[in-house]
Amino acid sequence: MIDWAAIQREALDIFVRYLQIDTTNPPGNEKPAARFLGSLIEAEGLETEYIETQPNREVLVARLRGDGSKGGLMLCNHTDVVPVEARYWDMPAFEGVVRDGRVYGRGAVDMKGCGVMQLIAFLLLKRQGLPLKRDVVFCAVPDEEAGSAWGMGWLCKHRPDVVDVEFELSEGGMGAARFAGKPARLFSVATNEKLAAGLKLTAVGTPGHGSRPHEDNSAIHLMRALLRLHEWDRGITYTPDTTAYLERLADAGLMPPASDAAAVEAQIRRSPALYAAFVNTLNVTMVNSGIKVNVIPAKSEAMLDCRLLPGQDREAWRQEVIRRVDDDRIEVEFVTRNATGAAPAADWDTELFWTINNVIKESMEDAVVVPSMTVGATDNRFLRGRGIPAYGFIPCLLSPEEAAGFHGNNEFLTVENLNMGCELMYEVVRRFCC
Amino acid sequence: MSRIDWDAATAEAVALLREYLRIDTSNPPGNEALAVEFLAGILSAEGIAFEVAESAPGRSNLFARLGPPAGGVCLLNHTDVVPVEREYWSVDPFGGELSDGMVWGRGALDMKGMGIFELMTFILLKRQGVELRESVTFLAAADEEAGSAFGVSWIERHRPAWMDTDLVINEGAYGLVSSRGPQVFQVAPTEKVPLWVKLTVRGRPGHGSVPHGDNCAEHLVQALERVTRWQRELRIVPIMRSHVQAMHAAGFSNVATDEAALAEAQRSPSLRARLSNTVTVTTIGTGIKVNVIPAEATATLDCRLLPDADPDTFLHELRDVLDDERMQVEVLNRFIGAESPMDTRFVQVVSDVVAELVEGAQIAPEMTSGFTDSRIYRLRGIPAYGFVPCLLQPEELAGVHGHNERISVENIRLGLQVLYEVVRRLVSA
Repeated sequence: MIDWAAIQREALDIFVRYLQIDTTNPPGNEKPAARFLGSLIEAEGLETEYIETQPNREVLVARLRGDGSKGGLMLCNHTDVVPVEARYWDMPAFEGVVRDGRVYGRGAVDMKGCGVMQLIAFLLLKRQGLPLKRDVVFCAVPDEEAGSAWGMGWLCKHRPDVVDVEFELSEGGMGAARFAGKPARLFSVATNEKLAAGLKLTAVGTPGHGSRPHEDNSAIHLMRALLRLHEWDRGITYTPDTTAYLERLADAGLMPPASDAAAVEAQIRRSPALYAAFVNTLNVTMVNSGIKVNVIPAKSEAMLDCRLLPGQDREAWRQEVIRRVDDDRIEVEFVTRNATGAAPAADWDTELFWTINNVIKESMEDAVVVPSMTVGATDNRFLRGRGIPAYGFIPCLLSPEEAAGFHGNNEFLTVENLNMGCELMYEVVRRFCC
Repeated sequence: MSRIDWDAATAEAVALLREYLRIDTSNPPGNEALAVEFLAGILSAEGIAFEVAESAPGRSNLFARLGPPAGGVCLLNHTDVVPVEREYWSVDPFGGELSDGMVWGRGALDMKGMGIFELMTFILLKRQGVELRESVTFLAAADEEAGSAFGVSWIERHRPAWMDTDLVINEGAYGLVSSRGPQVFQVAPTEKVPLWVKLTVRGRPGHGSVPHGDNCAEHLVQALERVTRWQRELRIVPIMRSHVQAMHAAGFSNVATDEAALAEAQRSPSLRARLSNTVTVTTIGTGIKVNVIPAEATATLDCRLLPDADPDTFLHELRDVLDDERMQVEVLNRFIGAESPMDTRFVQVVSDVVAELVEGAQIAPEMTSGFTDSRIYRLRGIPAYGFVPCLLQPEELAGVHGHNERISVENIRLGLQVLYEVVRRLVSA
């Protein structure tokens, strides 16, 4: 028998200590995080491997051997976190503050919390000594938040042996405690994701003295371009995946039936997170213009976070934006030059999906489990590109406030969710691999 | 008293300017102490006493006086320069290059060139042994380009004796030459009044993959775009009416009437700047990472008001145009307008000297569209004039706060000669 109360205390203690390791990327410095997780695995008498991808940046790999009758399952999590705007936080972001049943800290939901759930599942499998049909690979990678060149991207290129598994679980999908304004227990298992195609707009004008305004001010050109992009309605696009997703939601009474297209579209447009799954998004995230209050800037730049629907071509998107901007003083280029093409969707109808479905349904009768598309980018794209069904699955029921913590302020995970996540993750992995 | 060898004086001024331009006093941060060290070395070599006062680490001001211990004429210059956007320069902005009859570098016009005219005038008065009925002061101040807090404003509080003068000659108006022939030396007794405004808007941060409609970067862009479409009233203040008429009389423009000036202002940004309150978006900053929706976005507006405009009314109108309750409007710097008289001996002497030294040239009153340290003197009731006695082509003027700033050797000679003669007449017995 597992003493879940003891496990919950252990998980909370690990979680708090993990959040105290500042792995803000850039620069990352994920080595201490890899070593911290690794030390907990080593304490169980297991071997670990640390793979350095850059100075102070490491991948941690540990493995439980199966009998070889089935292919391996990788539990993959990233150790880095996005930067913090500390002045908007009500508490320190790297202290693992536990308050009112919540654990606060950068990475709580993205994705150190899930990393702890995977670790607990891994440690419990070892402690229970259960015979395994599949290898279970615990893999903690750096650099997910900055494009993965020194994380999963590096690993696939230089250590394909590590990622030679049959299935993988990581972030990208999770449970939502509310859907479309109503209480729900909606678990999304992400089988697909959008393609990052961030653009940089550079406007060039004529410099001059701020006291003599002229029309060739690069800041004005840039603003006009951004406004044209803002006012651009790109409509709604349905893909086979999102169509299947809507059907399952409709069956559960969470969406209008597909036959009522207008009602479906209206509901999609009401929710930014939902809408993002049906459109190529374009989000102005950085603007930089000017050097001094009295100098007309010669150059102004903006960065747009763009995410394309599966199957869309990056270059075609860039051309579309250029046509919409319609100003040859403005250069439009990709933020990242070496980005990959669209990743193929993983098949959702697999033993792993149904295991997740069954474990959740047995735990919560009224839960709905759907295959879904992640609107952000995750490391899963690298594995899907290798033909591996890589699923995004954080087994928690996040409130809207909790979900806002992804790249937001006052990021937290409730202790209740941490406990639920550890139990569900263990049960999914146990049932799938034993 | 021997005659001045203007060839030699010009060569000396060119050499000094080239050396001066190599000193990077971009403000921020300024580092004007380096310029002061340079100027001090020159004055020391001439046996002229001077004082140096540090207003902040690495930032200092220099003062020297010849003749009687108070009053007289102040030759005022600032030692800092505005930053450069190096990728747009075809020469090293801090190389002091001499080519094609031009001395190139940041500050050549604004205003290290004029600083050298003033320094050379000061030195020549001493070398020539001119008997001084009135005092002449040389004042090299820091921080003019960033609002003067560590320059003349600091001097006003900590070295008031340095400002004991009856008249200030400073930057503020250049002479102009047209390809069609007319030449005009401009004298500026007043200037536009800066009002620097910072806009801040907060929104909801979040992941860049989900646009949520409360993105502060987008709020800011939309409000700024409204500002750029804001049409403000055109209005001819008296000094500008005189300017328009004098430029017409000098054969410099065919605009003689108010009506024609208002029409011309629609075409000419430069004239428009002197006939209206202006607003320029000069900086925008937001964002920490391409996939993070920022929590805060800021912009600065460089607003310049006509000398008689009411800043509070203007700010009220600006808020209406921004039309966004979330927008915080913060005034970074506000000044007060003031004007010096034009019926003074100084203006008469300028007029005489110009008529004698430069055939066919005229003078014209002007309103500086930028701001200068002169404002601080004017508010104390001390007449202060913008008068840089060079004759510039329009493309040379573009170098002021722009790229490839330069001054011709010919203009260095002209500026030096005219300024020396004006000052000599004002102060000699």
